[in-house]
Amino acid sequence: MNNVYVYCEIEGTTVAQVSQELLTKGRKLANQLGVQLEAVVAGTGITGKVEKQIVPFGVDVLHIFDAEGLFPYTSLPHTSILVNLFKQEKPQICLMGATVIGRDLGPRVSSALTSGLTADCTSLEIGGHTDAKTGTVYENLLYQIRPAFGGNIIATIVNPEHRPQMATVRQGVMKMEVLDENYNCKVVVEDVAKYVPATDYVVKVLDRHIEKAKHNLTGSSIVIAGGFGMGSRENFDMLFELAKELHAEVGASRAAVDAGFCDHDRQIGQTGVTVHPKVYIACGISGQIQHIAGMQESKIIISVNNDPNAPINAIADYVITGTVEEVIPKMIKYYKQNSK
Amino acid sequence: MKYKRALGGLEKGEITKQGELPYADLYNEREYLNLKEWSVADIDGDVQQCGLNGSPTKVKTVQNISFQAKESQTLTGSDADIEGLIVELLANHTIG
Repeated sequence: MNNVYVYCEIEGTTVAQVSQELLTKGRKLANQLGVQLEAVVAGTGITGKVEKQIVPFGVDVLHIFDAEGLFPYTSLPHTSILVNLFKQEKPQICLMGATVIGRDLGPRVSSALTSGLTADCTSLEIGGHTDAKTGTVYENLLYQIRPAFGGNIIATIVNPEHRPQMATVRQGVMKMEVLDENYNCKVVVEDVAKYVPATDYVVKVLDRHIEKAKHNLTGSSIVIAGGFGMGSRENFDMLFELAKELHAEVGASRAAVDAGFCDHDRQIGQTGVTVHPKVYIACGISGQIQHIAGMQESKIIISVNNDPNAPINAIADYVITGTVEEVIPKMIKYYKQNSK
Repeated sequence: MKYKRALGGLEKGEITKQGELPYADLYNEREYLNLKEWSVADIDGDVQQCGLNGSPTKVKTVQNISFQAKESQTLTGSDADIEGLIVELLANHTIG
């Protein structure tokens, strides 16, 4: 009762990275609140295969729902699992990834439980709140923090009266950290029929086609991103060439994607992916707030821009004032010359 | 443009408080210009869940975003500056 829950998304028998990131965060929140961290995973043929991907993050109780029809994901069975489990266990917090599945499941569960949900949080903290109208003081609420109004403000949202306090978080926003490979966890293999009525299996997935990811932008330690200042799709070839030398990945700002210079799956920012690489080289990127939201956690930021007043220069560690056509070939040349 | 003058009952009420309703005859001639309004009671809704008071989530605080400018090293696009940067990043194992 009153614990922190994380819904773990799976693909086959592989737990999604975003879920592991949330388990790490969930463990910290549970420690702060002095409660347990519990995880829920639902799929087919997963018993014995997912535990090692979940428990080491510090999970005290793992609820496994294993039955035909639970993979691939369909809305009704997974919703019933969480709604009925939460009615029984009464968690205080539930976290899930802001993925295609999370964006379907989260609102269904929070609506059924009238619990409220904040999507795409960039930070989660614990704190108090005083209701200005009634003067009621609340302790240990989950602060669900996220940008709003085009990224021009940061809003802190709370659920004072309704439980669970639900939040979704995008992959890459939270850090992933194994706590203890041999963490002591109670694994409960649940009776699925008790939580999911037979009528929930009304949708059957007949076939799936999965396209392999062309890149690993969120996992790369060096990201070279191009903006509208690159000028053309052809100029992006320079970035791919530099990326090949540095073993980096290429990203893009929304302006570059909208202009057709780069594919959408490489977009970094509020409506793209969030990255926190060791090095972020921003080429011809002005630095609008919506883009910065997706890369500001980078350890070292290098800006290449012919505008010395570009907003991105304010957060960069190195500011190279010059055109990308001039600078990038030189970076390639001198890297080849000086590296082993 | 067919629905240009369409109004609901509440809107008409607001307008007539301040004066005559423009094109009043049109609303008698063209029934489609009279928009039907639904209240929470009409749809058997729960008033407790409506409006700001009905939302389980409350906005606690709102902050404007201002980025802290950091001290940065400014370079030109010259060969010397670019090579110097690459050598520095290689030396401290940031790249390579």
